[in-house]
Amino acid sequence: MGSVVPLWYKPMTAMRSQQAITQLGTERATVLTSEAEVLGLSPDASSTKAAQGLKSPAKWPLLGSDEGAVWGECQGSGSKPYQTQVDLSGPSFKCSCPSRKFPCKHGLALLLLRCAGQVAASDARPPWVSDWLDSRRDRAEKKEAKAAAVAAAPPDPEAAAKRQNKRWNRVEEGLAELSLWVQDMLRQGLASVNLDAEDTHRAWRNMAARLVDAQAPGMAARVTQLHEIASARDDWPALLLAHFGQWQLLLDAAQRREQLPPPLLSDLMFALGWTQDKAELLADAPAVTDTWRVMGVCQIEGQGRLVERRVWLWGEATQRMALLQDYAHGGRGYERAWVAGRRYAGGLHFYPGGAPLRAMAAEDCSLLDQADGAAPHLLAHSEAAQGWSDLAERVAGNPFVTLQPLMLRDVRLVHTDARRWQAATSQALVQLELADEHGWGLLAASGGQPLLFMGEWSDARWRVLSAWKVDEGGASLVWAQSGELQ
Amino acid sequence: MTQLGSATSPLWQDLMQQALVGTQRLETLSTASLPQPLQGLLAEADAALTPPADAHAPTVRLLRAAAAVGAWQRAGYEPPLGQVGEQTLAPQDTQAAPARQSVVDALAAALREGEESLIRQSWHLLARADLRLPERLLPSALDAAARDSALREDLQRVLGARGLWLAQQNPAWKFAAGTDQKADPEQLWSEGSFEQRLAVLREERARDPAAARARFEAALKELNAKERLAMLELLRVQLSMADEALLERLLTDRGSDVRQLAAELLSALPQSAHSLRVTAWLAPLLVQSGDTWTIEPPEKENPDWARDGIALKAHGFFKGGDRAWWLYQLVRMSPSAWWTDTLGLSPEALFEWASKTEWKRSLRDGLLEAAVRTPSRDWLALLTSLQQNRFALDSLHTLLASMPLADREAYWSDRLKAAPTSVMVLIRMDELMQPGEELSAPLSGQVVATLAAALAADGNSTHWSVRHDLSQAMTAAALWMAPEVLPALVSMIDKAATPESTNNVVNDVQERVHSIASIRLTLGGIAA
Repeated sequence: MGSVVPLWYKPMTAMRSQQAITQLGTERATVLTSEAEVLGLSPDASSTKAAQGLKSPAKWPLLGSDEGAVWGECQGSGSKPYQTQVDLSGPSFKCSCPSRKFPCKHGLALLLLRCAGQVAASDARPPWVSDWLDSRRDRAEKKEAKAAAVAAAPPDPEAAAKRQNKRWNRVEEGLAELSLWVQDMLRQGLASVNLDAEDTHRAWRNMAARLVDAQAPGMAARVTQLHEIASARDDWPALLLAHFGQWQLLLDAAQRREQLPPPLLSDLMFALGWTQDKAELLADAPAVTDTWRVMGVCQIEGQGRLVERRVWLWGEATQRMALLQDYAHGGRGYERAWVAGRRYAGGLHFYPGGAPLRAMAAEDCSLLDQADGAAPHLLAHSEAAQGWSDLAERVAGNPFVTLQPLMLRDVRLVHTDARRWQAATSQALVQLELADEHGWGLLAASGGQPLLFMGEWSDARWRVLSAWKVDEGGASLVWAQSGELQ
Repeated sequence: MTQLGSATSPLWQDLMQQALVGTQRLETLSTASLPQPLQGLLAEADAALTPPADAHAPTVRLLRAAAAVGAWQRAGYEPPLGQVGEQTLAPQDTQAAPARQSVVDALAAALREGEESLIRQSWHLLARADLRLPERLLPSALDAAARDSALREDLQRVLGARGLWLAQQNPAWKFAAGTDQKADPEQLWSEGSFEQRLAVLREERARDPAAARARFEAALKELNAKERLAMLELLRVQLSMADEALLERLLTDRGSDVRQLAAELLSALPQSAHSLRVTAWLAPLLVQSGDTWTIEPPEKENPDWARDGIALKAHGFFKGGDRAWWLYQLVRMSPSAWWTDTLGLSPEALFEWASKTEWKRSLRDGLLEAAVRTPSRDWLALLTSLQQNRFALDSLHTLLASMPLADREAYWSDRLKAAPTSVMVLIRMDELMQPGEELSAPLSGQVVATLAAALAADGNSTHWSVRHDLSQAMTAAALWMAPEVLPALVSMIDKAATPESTNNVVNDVQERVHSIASIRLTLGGIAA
């Protein structure tokens, strides 16, 4: 294990030169060539079906593509056809239809047609396509300009400090209420708690709502999630106590926030619900450039139709994990899609913290054409000892996070009884959070062979997102959790 | 370290005890059982962060201890050691999965479409090219066959070693957990799943009827009633007097369905002792005077009837008295040729005669049922003319199913010529096609023309059943017509579609037809 480099604070020498990036960015165009891969981007089963129905060129009076983009006009129910376009470097989607899905059925259908070889190459992009692609570039430039402006002239520090103090006051009021509420529960004893009772539901909902009012939405989400998770588990009292303990850690940290080292303060503020301005992040955090392999994608629907998408990336040279977190609310889609198993070249801006994990993709991040390459570091970090120790280091760096990426190789899927899946390493068993039907899919893909699993670890459960076959050539994706809503 | 959940974990034991009981009652937390470094941490925390001096102090101490233990455990988690039972590896597949992505995509699309005929066709084509399903599609294929047993035999041929292995792991897929389909028939027969054994028997019956009969007969003891029934059903093919002895024996089988089926099969053999017994019971009931025949039902029941599959007690839903029931039962167990021969009448004339008798219902229903068992083309026209009669439809179905595709095509072609907008013909056709069959190009052209005419006439109908029939007929056409005519169907339907109008039935099925057509066209070239 001597060759394994610590996970973070990798010296910047690992960054590629700007020139190397440009070269990487030109290798593409044969990506997204299988229906399975395209449908992996589908937000739900009904979109998949609808897209299949639009797969006939007869429905598309206009179709065209070049190496960077695909576009088409699709006859919808209105008189004017929808204009659909895909920037293949993301892929990023845009469509003039009113659908709230991302990508919409037209975008998927367009890529399906391309897979079927039914989109001819075209020399001239229609103006609406080039306008969009230009505007994307403009926006990227504007973002950079804004970041540069922020860096050059930070906003009035005094006014900012005043605003922060005001918010801290409200957050502390909310936390004080939370603290009393938790303490009351413990004074009475957890044995007298009935999580399923209607009163309990109401009490937890009210507490969460109170925390939202107190401008601590992160804390509110923890309350809601804990109630959800604990209600479904037999070991709920221990789960409650462990989480209440972590909340206490947050409360104590909040009280002593002035003494916290800056990375820990950032982690605390994020945990409570502060969001960081993206322009500021671009200005403050230099991009970490690497080849990023998409290890897993999942979408979770939270309260109020808020959909959270988590994309886990592995930096092949920097040997670190990154998490891209996006939220789609109501009509808003994501800026781009990420294809599980594929590699992207470009930069990521990491949010500051004790164990930086969350990141934002720089505009230059683009899908690479080449399939899997050798991945010596990936394999080393997924050895059991290293996988668990990477996890330990991250917990030590940021004790406030509950959700952690976990990679382990030589893992076999075991079906214990009707509805439980476990991952078996050489001697140990890990409980999986895996829907029955997905488990069978993974078992079919594995054929009983040990594989490398990547998943999300929290509360002693592992939500497997992808499985990889390991051989001399490296690691190749054999199964991925579909990107559909769960 | 043990799992987070277990309150018996030494780390959590003391904390959990206090948390469960409540700090109100159990004020002091013992930290003695915690590892030394954790105890040190807690002491430090106590010093740095003074707990409140009020009644909440014990609770805050508990929470801080939980914070420390929780972080300690999250960072130092080690999965519990566990014995993993012996797990088998999937054997190497000898059959290849389709190499072309478009084929894989079409197979997936067929499963998503969910149409039984389409799925069976797709698997049939795959099997014909000696390919298996790709791993990714195995769970949904097995699920589909778990829901719909009609898919099972076709699935078995494309499961491959991986699919078989997978089916063995899931009780819900037990039906497919047989033996490698590549094994020789004897091994499949002795070790295979029920579907595999059925397939062996079916294949043998077509090739060597006597050997199949002997195989079935030898297995009778180990089969349950449901299995005996399904296998006996296979003897319909190539049924002959050589089967009589076995069928006679089965008249006393333990399963009532088996007994009934044996009797019905015997009635399909006009020379069988069973048929002779039944006609001997019937003959005295018929009286000829001059050119006219009259019939009188039996006056009382005969206990011997029961052994020959003639029920003595009427079903609850039978309208009529005991005598009418006995007559109906006797007639349905008699060979239909006996009637036409004895009375010297064509089926149409026989039917006409029956309609004029006092026992019209018993005779007609019985005759139509009898006609199923000795499929004779003489009855085709009569059965076709009786579209409203349930027995006639069943008999027609069986009769057509026994005919080779070319003869069925000639029949359908005539029907379409007679009724150029009748979509019912197409819907019935769908029920009679088998995977591996497809309509000839000329008939397919005729089908397109029929659909075009029907759409012109009824495409905007608001009547639910008319719309339903039309869309079913379009789907049926897409499923079975010659692939070279599919583009004509698709373009006819595209032309008929009117996106701006919402009550055009074509709009509802257009996508489906497109999807079926593209799947069939892709899979048609599977072997290429």
